[in-house]
Amino acid sequence: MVSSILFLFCFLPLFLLCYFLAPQKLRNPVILLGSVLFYAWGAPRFVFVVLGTTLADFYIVRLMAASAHRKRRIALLCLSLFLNLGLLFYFKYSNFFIENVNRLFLRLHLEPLKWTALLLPIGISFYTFETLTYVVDVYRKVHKPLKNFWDYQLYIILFPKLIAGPIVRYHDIADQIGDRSAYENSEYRLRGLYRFFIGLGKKVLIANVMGATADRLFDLPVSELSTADAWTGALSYAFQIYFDFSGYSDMAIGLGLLMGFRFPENFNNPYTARSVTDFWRRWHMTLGAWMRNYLYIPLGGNRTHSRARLYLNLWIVFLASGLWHGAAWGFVIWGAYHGLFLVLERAFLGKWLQRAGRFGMLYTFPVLLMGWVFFRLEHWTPALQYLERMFSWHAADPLQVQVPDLLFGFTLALAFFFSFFTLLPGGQAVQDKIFNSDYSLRRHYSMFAATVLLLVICAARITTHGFNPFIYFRF
Amino acid sequence: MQQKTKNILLGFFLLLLLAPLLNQQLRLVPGTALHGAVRGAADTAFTFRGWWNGSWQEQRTAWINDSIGFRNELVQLNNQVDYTLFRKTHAAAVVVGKEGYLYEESYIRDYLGLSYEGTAEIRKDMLAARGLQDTLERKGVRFVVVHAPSKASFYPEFFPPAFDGHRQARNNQQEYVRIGDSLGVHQLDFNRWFVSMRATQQHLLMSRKGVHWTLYGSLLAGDSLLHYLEGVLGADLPDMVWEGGIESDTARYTDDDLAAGLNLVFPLGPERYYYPSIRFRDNSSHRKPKIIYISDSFFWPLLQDGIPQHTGSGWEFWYYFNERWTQSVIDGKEPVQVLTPGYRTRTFFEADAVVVICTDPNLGSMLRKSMRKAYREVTRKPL
Repeated sequence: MVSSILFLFCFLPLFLLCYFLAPQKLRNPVILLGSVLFYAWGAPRFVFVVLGTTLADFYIVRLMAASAHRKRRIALLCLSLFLNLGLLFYFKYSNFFIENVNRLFLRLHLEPLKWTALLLPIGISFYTFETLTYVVDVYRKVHKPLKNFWDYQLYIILFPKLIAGPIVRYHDIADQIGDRSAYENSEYRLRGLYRFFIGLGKKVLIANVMGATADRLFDLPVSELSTADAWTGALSYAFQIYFDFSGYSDMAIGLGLLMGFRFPENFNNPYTARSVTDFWRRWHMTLGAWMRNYLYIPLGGNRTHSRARLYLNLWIVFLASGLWHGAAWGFVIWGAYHGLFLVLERAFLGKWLQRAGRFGMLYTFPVLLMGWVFFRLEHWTPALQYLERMFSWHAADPLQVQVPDLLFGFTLALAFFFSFFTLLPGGQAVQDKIFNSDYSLRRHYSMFAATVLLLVICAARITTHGFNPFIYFRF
Repeated sequence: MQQKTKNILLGFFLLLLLAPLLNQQLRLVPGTALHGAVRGAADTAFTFRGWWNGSWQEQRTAWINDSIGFRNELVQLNNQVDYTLFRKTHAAAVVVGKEGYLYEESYIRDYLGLSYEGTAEIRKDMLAARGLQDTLERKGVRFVVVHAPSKASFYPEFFPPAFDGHRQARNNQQEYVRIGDSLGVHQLDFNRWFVSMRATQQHLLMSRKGVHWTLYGSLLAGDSLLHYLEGVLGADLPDMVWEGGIESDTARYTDDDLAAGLNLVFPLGPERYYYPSIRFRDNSSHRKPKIIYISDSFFWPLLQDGIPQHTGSGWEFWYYFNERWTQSVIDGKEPVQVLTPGYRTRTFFEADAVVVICTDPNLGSMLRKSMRKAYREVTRKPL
């Protein structure tokens, strides 16, 4: 939706025009209306689910905060958790659950359950987790509940982050709902534009190209895959998912900045990680923070009596992370796979990797690559077959002559470069200058020119290739 | 000052984002047309049901994508960037060879034998063709298979480098000709003929930028076909009279169809085409037989030349053995019809000649699907 001609040339400019021209007190209603329209366009059946659950949560949380009785507070907390996680489970996991129950029933020669597969409301995993941050933080008295329902609705349905994150903890954004004056000026609006189009470029110019090759290779019967093809497919997917998701996060952050919101960063050059532990400090950081604050720490976190319990906690968190991504065994396996390496690194591997320094990437990147195969194929057997193809020699069929795809080759090189360029001398400094430092007028001119070029090239790509949805909006 | 500059930049960007929508609504700047089979999505009226099930949004999004202002220019820009930097085209299955020669990739694969079907299957196809030929000729209907020239056979030296050194022992077209000859199927191998003429012909028979024979090439082929039909029908058909011609850098009709379909900002380098002036000399002693042409798009240049119209009576063109085109259809007096088995069989026996024109990638369609189907329909026997 965000990387479509409709959004770029219709929704976005008209929304921004309305927003910039609206008087201060009407700006939140403009965002709310725009967000409702945005969601109602993409998911008309589920817009009422989102609106309805936010209404219910708002009043449950108010009751909970107003109550002095501990048991009543717990009961209301559980009610809200049940409502939100229940809906998440219902929409996202019931198909998977019934499918597996029926598989078991068939094995036991029992009549399978009749079930009509459900559609998944887009972004449900994201806004459910955001709702939980609000509910739990009010319960923990980290902050007071909102007085105004529309402010809460705005927080949940805020369209830049609604369908694919970042997962914005209410605590991080609470003050900004009422007062965004610190960032509501042309300086930050321009930087929001630059950030948005950097994200769009990542998605359209890199992720989509990688994705086309990944799709082609992963869709081939595994017996037709050469070893080179298998590695190419895995690499392509690894870059597709990174640039797709980080691109969307950039676009969300940029759009937020256009309205004066500062969303948290979600990625920090994850493929430069020196260990899987380090990877999770750089990849989907807002999910990692959520898991740490709302699952890992309540389970005991690092402060457990035994190492075994610590490892179990880690593994549970990563199983949950895997399952959060999707209702298929491949995601669970992916989560468990990452959990395993995290445990190993805690146990002994981490010390070796610390000594290895940058060379740790030579271990981390292949581990991640193999994990992405499970993620992409979603099922155990096809993933194993694919990995077998990667790690055994299969020559290409001599009759399968392909004209080299120079665009793919160039884009792969770009993907490598942008994934690892902070390792180059001055690379980190360049990144800081673009994303974190103050801008001189001269830098504004350069960024502006680059952004206009990105807009034109991306728009040309999008309109030629039509609809191109993000991967993570599935979640 | 800085604040004002930033506001101007922001305002300018907003205007840039609004420009396509404004142009779509107000049509301030006329757009360029795209070439090829371009079908834009249609707009759709809002309905609650359509919104509820998402179909309205899908259709509307597609319509906006296809109709937004400057859309065609953006498509051309995208295509130009990919062509210039990566030698990549956005026309279906078109690849760029050496020195900018354009090919449909299937022609290259067929020429190299990378899609070789095998002798057994080809033999079955030509047995069907021979069976059909015998059945028709018992009823006085002449049957001939014409192998139109393949650009891959004509310009093999300009293939993309990836294909160098991949020639296999056999390819489909050569086997069809060989097996057809051994079974006594009447064939005209214009592919071999064109290749043999390449060095001596002054004018382009096939172009760098097209997939079909040039209009000039099709006239030579048409003239030869007419002479052949005169011989086998024992008839004096109207004569083609060549009255000079002009050379031009501007392609006509399908002579640059591949290049036109690339939809680039900057046209590809020029070629020198030749457009003869042809007149048909027709008098009362001439006979105009009823000829059925079964072909793919290689027939269209012959139609453009006027050959079926001036040399035949009640001619029919069966496009891929499925659609019926006649003079009335060309004139817009009747719609294209889908052929039925009964109609095909009846019309076969009403014709004087049946000409099957096939090209490398369509040997399967023409000589397998169509001929086997025709054999079963006409003889009512299994193959």
